[in-house]
Amino acid sequence: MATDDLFFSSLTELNAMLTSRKISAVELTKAFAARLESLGPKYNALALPLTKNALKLAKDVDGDIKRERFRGPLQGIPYGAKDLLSYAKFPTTWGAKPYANQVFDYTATALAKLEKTGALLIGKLAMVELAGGGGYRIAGASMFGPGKTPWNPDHWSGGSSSGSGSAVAAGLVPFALGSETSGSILTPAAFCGVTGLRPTYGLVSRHGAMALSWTMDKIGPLCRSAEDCGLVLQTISGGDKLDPASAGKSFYYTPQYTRSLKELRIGYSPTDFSDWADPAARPAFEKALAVLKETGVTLVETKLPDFPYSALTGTIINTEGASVFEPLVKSGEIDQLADPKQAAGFRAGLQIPAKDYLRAMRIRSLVQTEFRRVLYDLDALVSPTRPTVAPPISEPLDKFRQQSDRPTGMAGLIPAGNLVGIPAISFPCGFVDGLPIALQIAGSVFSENTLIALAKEFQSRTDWHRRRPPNISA
Amino acid sequence: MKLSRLKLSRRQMIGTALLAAAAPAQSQEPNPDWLTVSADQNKTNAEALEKITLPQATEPAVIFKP
Repeated sequence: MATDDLFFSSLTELNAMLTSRKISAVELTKAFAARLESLGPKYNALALPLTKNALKLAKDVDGDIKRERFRGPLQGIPYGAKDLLSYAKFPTTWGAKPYANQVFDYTATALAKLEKTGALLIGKLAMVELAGGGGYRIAGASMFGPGKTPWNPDHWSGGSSSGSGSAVAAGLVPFALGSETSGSILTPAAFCGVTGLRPTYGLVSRHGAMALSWTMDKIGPLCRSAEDCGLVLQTISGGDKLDPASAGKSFYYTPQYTRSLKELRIGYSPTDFSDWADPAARPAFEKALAVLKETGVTLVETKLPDFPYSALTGTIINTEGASVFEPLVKSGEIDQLADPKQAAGFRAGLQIPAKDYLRAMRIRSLVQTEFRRVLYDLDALVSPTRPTVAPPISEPLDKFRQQSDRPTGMAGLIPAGNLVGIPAISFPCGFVDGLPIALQIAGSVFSENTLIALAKEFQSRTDWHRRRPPNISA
Repeated sequence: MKLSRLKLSRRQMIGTALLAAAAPAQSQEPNPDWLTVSADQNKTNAEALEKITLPQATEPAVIFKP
């Protein structure tokens, strides 16, 4: 019988169980799929169970393992994917009622790559409708209801990869895929107490993913640990002719070749920890910063280049998103969205003058130049992922967003990092009133191995990422 | 109380009906005009971007591939 330990095992541990045939892929898939179907609705995390299809594939994987045809560390491991990624012949709703019956005849490249190595998709996971592109103001902006963090279901899971965050946190899947345009992997990772990696723009193909902002969308993993993120990223990265923005590069998780942490200079802003962070969270954030320092890195005081990051991301995402969904707006079906603010946001986006969009994109070039300068002197930047714990689902999100827009220190690292396309990793670093808080580390383009190494070293010195939410039972 | 004992005049009944119809609107918070809110936010964003000095030769952060 499956125990809780199984559901909270790392990918390496699960792989060892499978290759040594202590458990079969079919048994593992059955156990996780039953748990996902049973507990997923409790957190509004499940969009579509794919158990039958996964079990069919799991039988083939068991045959391969029996014949010692090993295809990599994810072979036979079940997982979930944000319902923004198409899986051929199954519904892909993008979390939005107007697309409830949408079915594609092709599979997203990231899912196809996982399937090729024997990973088993057991369910599509819930998300904020249309990835929140219209500017949502309520946690319930989804056809699946408000995402709930397993640490306290009265609080939000974060978005827009809401189901991906809560499903990993509750041990419903060993890992999940999410997507980020500006904060949609890092925020649910922080609020659900899991590790999330936003890759460099173009490293993971977006073919088969819902487009919101062509110049900012990224696909990435949410996992139990930094090491797990490395294993998943290695599988889903790589050039793809079907994605015009593909960087044509692969990622190989090579912890053995990572630079010594003692050589690394990490930029931070003391005001993030003393002023920006919620007062109740400051002691935990400061302890986490001290742990990071103990790893041997050199912490250097710095701050972000002075730009209106939220205004930039707002203008770019609103304009591109409104163009993507113009047919939905014109048909009037946009009004079927759960959050009327979202529908209004897409409508208003169609009225943004070309001069404003182009100005934002020209300023974005300046931001890129400035970031290259900052990251020439420093190897990475660290700040709280979010300054507060997850807000209650009953509260409008405006208040929480206003707090995160304060232009001090590195408060704008999420929009800034997304504008310049650099990678970032978020990992849990403590708890406040039973809810997780997290640090994010961002670095130069294609520096994922360094970010993973830093987070992995932090996780070797702490156990925040191994904590399990209370009161979970199937 | 039986309805027959209310003994309301036609004018009183119309007044009561009008009050009853108006009551729900009074008890709810005014519904914001989200389109105006969103348009105002876009305008605020544009004003923030106007404050940045742009060198004439700065090209947008997009690459055209022929």
